[in-house]
Amino acid sequence: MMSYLKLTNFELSRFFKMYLVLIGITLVMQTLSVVWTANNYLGEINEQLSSGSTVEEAINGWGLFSFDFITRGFWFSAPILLCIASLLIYVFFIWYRDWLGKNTFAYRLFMLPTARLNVFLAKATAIFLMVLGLISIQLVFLTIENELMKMIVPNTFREDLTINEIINGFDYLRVLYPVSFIQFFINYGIGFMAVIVVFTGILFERSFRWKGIILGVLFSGIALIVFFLPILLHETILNHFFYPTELFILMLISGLIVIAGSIWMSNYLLNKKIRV
Amino acid sequence: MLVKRFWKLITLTIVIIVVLIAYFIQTSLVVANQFPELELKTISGDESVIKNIQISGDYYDQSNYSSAVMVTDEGSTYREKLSYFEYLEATFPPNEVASFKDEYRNFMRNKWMSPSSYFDNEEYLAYVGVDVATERFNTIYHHDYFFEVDVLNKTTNKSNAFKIKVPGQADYSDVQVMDVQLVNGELKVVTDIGYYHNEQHVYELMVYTIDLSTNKITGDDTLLAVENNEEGDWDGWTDISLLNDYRDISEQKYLLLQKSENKKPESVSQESHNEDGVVEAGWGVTDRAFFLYNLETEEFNPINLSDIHRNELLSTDDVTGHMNDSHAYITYVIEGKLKVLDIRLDDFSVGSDIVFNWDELDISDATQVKMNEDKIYVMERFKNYKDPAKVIVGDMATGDLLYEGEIVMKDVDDETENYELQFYNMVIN
Repeated sequence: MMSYLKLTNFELSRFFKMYLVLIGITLVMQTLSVVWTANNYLGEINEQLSSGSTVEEAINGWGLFSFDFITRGFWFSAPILLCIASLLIYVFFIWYRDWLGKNTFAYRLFMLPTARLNVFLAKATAIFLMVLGLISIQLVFLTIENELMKMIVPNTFREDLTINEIINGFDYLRVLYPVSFIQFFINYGIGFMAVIVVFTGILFERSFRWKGIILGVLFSGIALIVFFLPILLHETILNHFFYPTELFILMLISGLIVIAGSIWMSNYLLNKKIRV
Repeated sequence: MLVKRFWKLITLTIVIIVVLIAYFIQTSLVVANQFPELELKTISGDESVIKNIQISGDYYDQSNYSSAVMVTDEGSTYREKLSYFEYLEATFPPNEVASFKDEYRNFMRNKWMSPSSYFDNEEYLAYVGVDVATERFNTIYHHDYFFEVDVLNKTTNKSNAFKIKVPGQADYSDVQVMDVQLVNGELKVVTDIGYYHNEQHVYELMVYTIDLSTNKITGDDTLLAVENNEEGDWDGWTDISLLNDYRDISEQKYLLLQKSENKKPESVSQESHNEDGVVEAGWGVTDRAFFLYNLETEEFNPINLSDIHRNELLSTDDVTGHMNDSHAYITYVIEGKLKVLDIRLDDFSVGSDIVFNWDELDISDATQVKMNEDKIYVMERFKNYKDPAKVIVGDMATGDLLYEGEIVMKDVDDETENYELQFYNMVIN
């Protein structure tokens, strides 16, 4: 347990500077985007007011300012997409960095007096924590940015939205922040499963190199089929036999089978086949 | 020491847990307050008559929140406020056949939840659905229609499921099951069929008889058929309809049918466009004829109405029909009154009118009328700011008002101008 925690903390530390940079970029870009969008709006309003329009006419022309104006802009989404892309790349890099350089670091990792599976689990946990961390910090940022927006745009021109309304107004945010906890569990559970399967694929490649790529892709394909097997059967030969809750439970089981199978396969590869 | 060593791991974990807990608490509070609690408030009468009703509808909010809602004497339930698994599983709002899912779980697998496909009595639960197999030859589509039949014997708990092709269907374009009845071991499937013939659109109301010992169709009886010209000749058209409550899944010996003639008025200027841009021609009903069909004897009888009733029926649009063991009822709204025509099933004679004065009860035209055994239930379809939706229950035998109530917001502070409620069904259990 201790070595698993140590390894997790170690994996976090290795990416932490980069992680803070990502958080910093998000905060700066989104804050600028709030200031820029709000000022742009106020500029248009002021221009119309100085040309003799009443406040009401100006509002009719430009609409009330809400946080949706900001979330729809490129500069708000760009850092979110950057964070997602970075973590996706790091899912691979968290393994390959250990093989880079002259003195293969992987060699030292695998020589540690602990189960090699701990290295695998620590890497998965680190990725998972970093994803959830970004998700949480983005929520804090949303709250701050919403307050900032209120400070810039006067009451008369503003339609205040709650955090939930902001998320509602933007589709992909709803995927990241579902309303129900169970949906949250499903979304991130599937994500976690995907990370574990990709890790296994990477270990196939690290074990058998070129041949391993084919095996890895094959393994991922099988994992995908196993996970969706209940739905595939339900839609084809079983002719819509299951009720939604039953299908949910079956998918939960097939998901757990995929996770368990991947961890078992990774354990085997790490102990018997891995090449450093 | 430990904290210092693991500070990154600990900080990140704490941030995640605190923020996500705060988020989910806040979200659940938002969801809880998103939709106002509704209640069925009694104005006068006997509350016990509304103990078994469920009124379902939709709630719309200006800020784009909408949800299906169900109101009973115990309060309101919104679909959006159901738990994840309730949301996943439930037929919401529950209709007349929703409870079968709990009672006959295996039988109900892979079946449409449309009440018109079901028949239920003490011994049997029967289902007839329509399945379509579509084939495409270049640009021509060919449909093959099948009845999917399943009959559950409640005492043996065995079901008899089979599929049969709907006969004589070379060019059918639409097949719908309107009602299912079980008469002396035979299934009677009331079916609405549409097809094109010689550039005419034909509608037929048929009754197919399915023998449950051989699982074969042993008879078909066309009750009513009309041909309407789809293009050009738009002077008028004929309508046929089954007036029995299609949501009623109980045993009914008779079908109440209506055939109406509609004519285009002399001056075309009476045509107007409604909000959706649909032409609302001032079509006038020039004739309404009513028939009763006995499912057991297969006798077809016209109902003879007095001239007064006939004329009144020509100046109203809202005609509904109902059935119980010994009577058929036709209801319509005229001059602020709901009139109920009471037709005896033994000799098809029309009894004296039963009248409910809607003007006195402050009920608008937009209502739904339901009947259950010897009671009539009426609800208003709309509720908005400060305007409640009325619900009344009347006695069919005496014409007395048994209950008067209204759907209102439980908390008066929830009343805003920004919402609209639409009710579309009342389930009487």
